[in-house]
Amino acid sequence: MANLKLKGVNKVYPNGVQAVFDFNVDIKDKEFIVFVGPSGCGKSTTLRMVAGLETITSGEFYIDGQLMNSVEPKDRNIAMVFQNYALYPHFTVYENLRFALKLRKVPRPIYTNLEDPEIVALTKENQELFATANKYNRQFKKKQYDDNLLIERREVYKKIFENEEKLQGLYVQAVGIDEYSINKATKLIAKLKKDIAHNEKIISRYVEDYPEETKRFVESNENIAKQIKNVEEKLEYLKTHEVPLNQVRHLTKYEMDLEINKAADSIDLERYLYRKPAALSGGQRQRVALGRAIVRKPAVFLMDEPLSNLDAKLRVQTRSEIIKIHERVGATTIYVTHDQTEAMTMADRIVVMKDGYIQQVGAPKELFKDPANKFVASFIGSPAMNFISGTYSNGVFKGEMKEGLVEAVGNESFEYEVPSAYKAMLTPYEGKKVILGVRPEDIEIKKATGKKSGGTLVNCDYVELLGYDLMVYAYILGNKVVVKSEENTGIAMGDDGYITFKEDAVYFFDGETEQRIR
Amino acid sequence: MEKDIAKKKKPLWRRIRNFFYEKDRKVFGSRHLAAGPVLSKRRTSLFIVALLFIPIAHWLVFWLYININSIFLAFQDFRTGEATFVNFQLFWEKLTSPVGNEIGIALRNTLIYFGTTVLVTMPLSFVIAYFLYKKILGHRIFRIIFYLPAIISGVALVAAFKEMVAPYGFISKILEFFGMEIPEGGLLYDNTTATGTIVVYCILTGFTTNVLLFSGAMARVPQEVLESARLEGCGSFRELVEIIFPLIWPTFATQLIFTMTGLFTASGPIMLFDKMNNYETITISYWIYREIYGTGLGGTGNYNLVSATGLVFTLIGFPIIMLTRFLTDKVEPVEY
Repeated sequence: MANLKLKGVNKVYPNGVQAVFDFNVDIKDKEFIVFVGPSGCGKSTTLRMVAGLETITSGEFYIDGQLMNSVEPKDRNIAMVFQNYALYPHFTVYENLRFALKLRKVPRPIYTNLEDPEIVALTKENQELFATANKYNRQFKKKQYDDNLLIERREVYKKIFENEEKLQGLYVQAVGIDEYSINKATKLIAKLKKDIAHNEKIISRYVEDYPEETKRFVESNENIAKQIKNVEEKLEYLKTHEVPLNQVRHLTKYEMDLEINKAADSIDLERYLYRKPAALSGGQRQRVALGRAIVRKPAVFLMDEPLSNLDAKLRVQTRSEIIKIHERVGATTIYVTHDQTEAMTMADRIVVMKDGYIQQVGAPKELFKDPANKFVASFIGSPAMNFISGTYSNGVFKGEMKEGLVEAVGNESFEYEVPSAYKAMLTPYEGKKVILGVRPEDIEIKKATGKKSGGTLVNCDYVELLGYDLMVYAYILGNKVVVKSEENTGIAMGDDGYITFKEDAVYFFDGETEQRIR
Repeated sequence: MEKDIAKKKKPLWRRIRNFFYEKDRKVFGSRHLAAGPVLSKRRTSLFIVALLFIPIAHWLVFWLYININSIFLAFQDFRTGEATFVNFQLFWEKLTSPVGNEIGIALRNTLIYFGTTVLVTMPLSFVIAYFLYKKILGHRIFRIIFYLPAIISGVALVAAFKEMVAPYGFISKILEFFGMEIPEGGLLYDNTTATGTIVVYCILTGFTTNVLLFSGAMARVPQEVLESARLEGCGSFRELVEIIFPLIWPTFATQLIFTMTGLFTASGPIMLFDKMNNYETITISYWIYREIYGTGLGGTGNYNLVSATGLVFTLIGFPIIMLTRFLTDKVEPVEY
């Protein structure tokens, strides 16, 4: 389980540049959340702060209620997939997957009935099968293109996995007082009390001179106190109740091999297990990076633009693989990208960022239908929303020439009768600057036949046929207007057409602040 | 006949010039049209020869001739010049003699210097380079400290070190504090401690090149790889041994082979510490120098003996170096 909470997180680099401003987001367990924004907006920096690779200048970061600001990256139970894969170039794929398993100790159940005849028989069978598998592995290292060998190897591992499943059903886990967890909880309480004492020292020293700044230390102490209370309750429970017992130890060679082969099988990497990264394609390397994250069974997955270095077709394919992995593994995932298509197709929720600030947080549909400001409206959706600046007066929106242009390109004037549903909200903007926004798919275009029709007459500057869809480009007062139409509209480059906006599909933004007018 | 007379009358410089422009003239009809992508092969050849002439001549005279000559000298008698194996017999006697066993002592000391370089200086340089690369606290100061020996004159360093290891020097005081007995004249004035003291000096001043090379190689390691390792729980030692070392192996291997070529030439600044070899500090290279030039230092000027000595050590050292190279080549270089 991994609920994440970022509270008032700021990042200021030593040279004084602030990359992230007041980042506040709660991420639920198993959620797939995407941080999206243009380059330099602070999304990767935020991700790296979550991973522990960057320090948090101010603010708090919690995982399951536990403060993580000063916790080492290796202790956060987080796996990260980097943009450049970050594979160990001198290790084979197998060794890349094995490296993390080799390093850490994990809790493994203690069983009481290991002498059960059925368990003994199955364990012995598995040992023999493992020896056979190792023989195949040695041959496979030399003849990696032998399909028959691959099939035989796969069959052996399939049998081993089946036996392991049977064994899991037969094992009886020991139950008792969990001394290890009690020690761990006691140490955690001691550490948290130390943190509180440290914060109190700071508060007592600076509260008179910097009352505002010390408030966050007070809040932090309150949160830590809550955390101590939770841990004490858990400690009390552990001291008085018998729980299933685990032994924290390194995995054996057999256990590591099983985990690696399971992960390799799930992402179709068996064939490449004994190759080095230099002998793999970009897509294969990315799968190895994913496999390396999966095999650790982390509570949180972090992905920093993992698909940026792949070609378009492979990107689509790998995208769906990532979603399947997320659903299978069930870990909370934070995904960083600059591609709004990836964000829209993959995310449960999207965090749109710009210049270090959060612009909006919401589900893809919410961001698409109900953007908070002009930036979100322009960033989400492909093709992007069309914007025309102008003034609102007496129920009519009157367009203005695009800033910076001396002579209008396209239509030289534009007036739009604002639907009645919008008039009430635009009343405070009488005579003021507003921005009209409308999505390309919410504009209808009819080819001009000579007879006057309703709508605004425009000249088609350029058309693009994309199969079923026809993209028509026109200009109004120098503003490019894109219309997504059907290919049977019959309109061609240079033709005139009448465009109308769907009544409930226009958006208005404040001309100064660019915030959405609601 | 007139043509022959005309040819003979042409000055030498003109004939040389025409020799190089002849092809152009034949192709273009005039040497003035020779500019452009088509160059006379002869001119190109002349340029290459002119550029390489000095280094090749240098190599031929100061390496090839000298080494071939020394092989001949090894098999010649010192006085008569006759072909003989007497120099090798003399070498063996000097090596195995129980009294005044100079070559034996020199060989022992040389192997101590060599072993220290390979087993102490190189690994320590690697570790120091790693900590400088990781920018530990005070790394800028440490960088200056480790690079200073390369900047300061060897004579000045030796003089300073001699003061430090003198009976009144602070190193002697520290060693006395830990219970070590300091010889009366100082650490440099005793057979049992002199070589060891110079070896310590060589270690302290021998980091610079290796630290520079290894730091440069480490800087090429992709940061994401190290961050990924950090996330997976890799500590500093494991990072150094399992990630950094394999990735900079080509640099390390090159430096190891380079060090191996100094198997029998390894030495410290003996001339500055113990010119007269009063305290068994001699090494093979210093012995060779003294035999040839040091008539005032007990040398005999016996080129033939020295050549024979060099030939013996070359025959021993060459296969060792080739074996080292063969073994280091077994490890495949990594692309990243």
